[in-house]
Amino acid sequence: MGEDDAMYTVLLPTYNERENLPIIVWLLVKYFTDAKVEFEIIVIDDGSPDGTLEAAEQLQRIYGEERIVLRPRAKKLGLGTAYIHGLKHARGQFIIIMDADLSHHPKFIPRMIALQQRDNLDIVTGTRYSGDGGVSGWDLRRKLISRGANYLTQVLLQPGASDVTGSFRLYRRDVLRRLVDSCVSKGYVFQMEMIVRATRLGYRIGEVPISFVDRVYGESKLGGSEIVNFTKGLLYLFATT
Amino acid sequence: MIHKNLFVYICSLTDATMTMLMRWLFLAAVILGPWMAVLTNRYQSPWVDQNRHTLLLYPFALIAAFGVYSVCVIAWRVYSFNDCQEAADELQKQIKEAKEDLAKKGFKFVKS
Repeated sequence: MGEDDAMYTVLLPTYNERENLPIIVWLLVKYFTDAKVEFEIIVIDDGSPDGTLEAAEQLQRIYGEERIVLRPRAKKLGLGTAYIHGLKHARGQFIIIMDADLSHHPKFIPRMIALQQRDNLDIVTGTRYSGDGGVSGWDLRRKLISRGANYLTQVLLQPGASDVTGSFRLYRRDVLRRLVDSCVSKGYVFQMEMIVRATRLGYRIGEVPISFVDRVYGESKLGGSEIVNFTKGLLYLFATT
Repeated sequence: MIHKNLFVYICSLTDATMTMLMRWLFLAAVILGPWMAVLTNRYQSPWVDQNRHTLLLYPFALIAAFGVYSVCVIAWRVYSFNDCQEAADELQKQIKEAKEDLAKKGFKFVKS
């Protein structure tokens, strides 16, 4: 089977995304279909109380069980285990991970696929920090914290990617498997750990600039505890990778 | 990018599984070793005695230079951070389009 027949699995962990899930699925179907690429979308819902799973079931009826696969879990169990859970039945040779809250736009997926094929990469990561990547909806304070934290990460960890906390990535399936098994952190530090370990293991990593549309910034997102957790995670990775 | 290649070279001399912490300690030892020798008068030479003041200051100068460099880099990156307004607008349009198309296909949106 040549690269042209490659299939792409999108892992979509969800929690309370009843409103966004139909949109993200619609967009994924649109861009994958336009790119004439085989795909499936695995929705991993962690027992959302708002009816996300019911929305997913409706989408399954519309688009078919081959395209929309449901792998729900009883409660919120974390990202790493969500990926492992989703990977178990994934049929794609390449796995795309992304957020389901519409901050990541599926239009960048064909570009990731093209870059991966062109350079025979193991990982393609979206970046908000280089090229024409960027963010919509951030004020000065948020930008400063983001750039400052990223700079510190670059200096201390030499991670091999400009955007280490980003979670919009394409992985070769066995690469994702190996990395998820060796990473222990939680949340966005988990994403940092994934890319740092990938660099240490010598995997080939490429980047595609993406636009990140932050619509939830108004509510919480970057308080003191987040900064503390980030620092702890950074120091942990500094000492262990 | 001499400093980057030098760093990579130093790293390649060491064990592949060495952590960043260990590499930084190694680098610190390389930089501070001679400095400590000057500080504790272990190394005697006319040149060292003449320039002692300057030599003792050089790690601090390095740190200060790095600090200034970092502030400049971060300031520039914050200033040039792309604001993707068009992306936000496009998303709004596509959300409408998606809702209409899905409703046609039989999706029942819950009014909230």
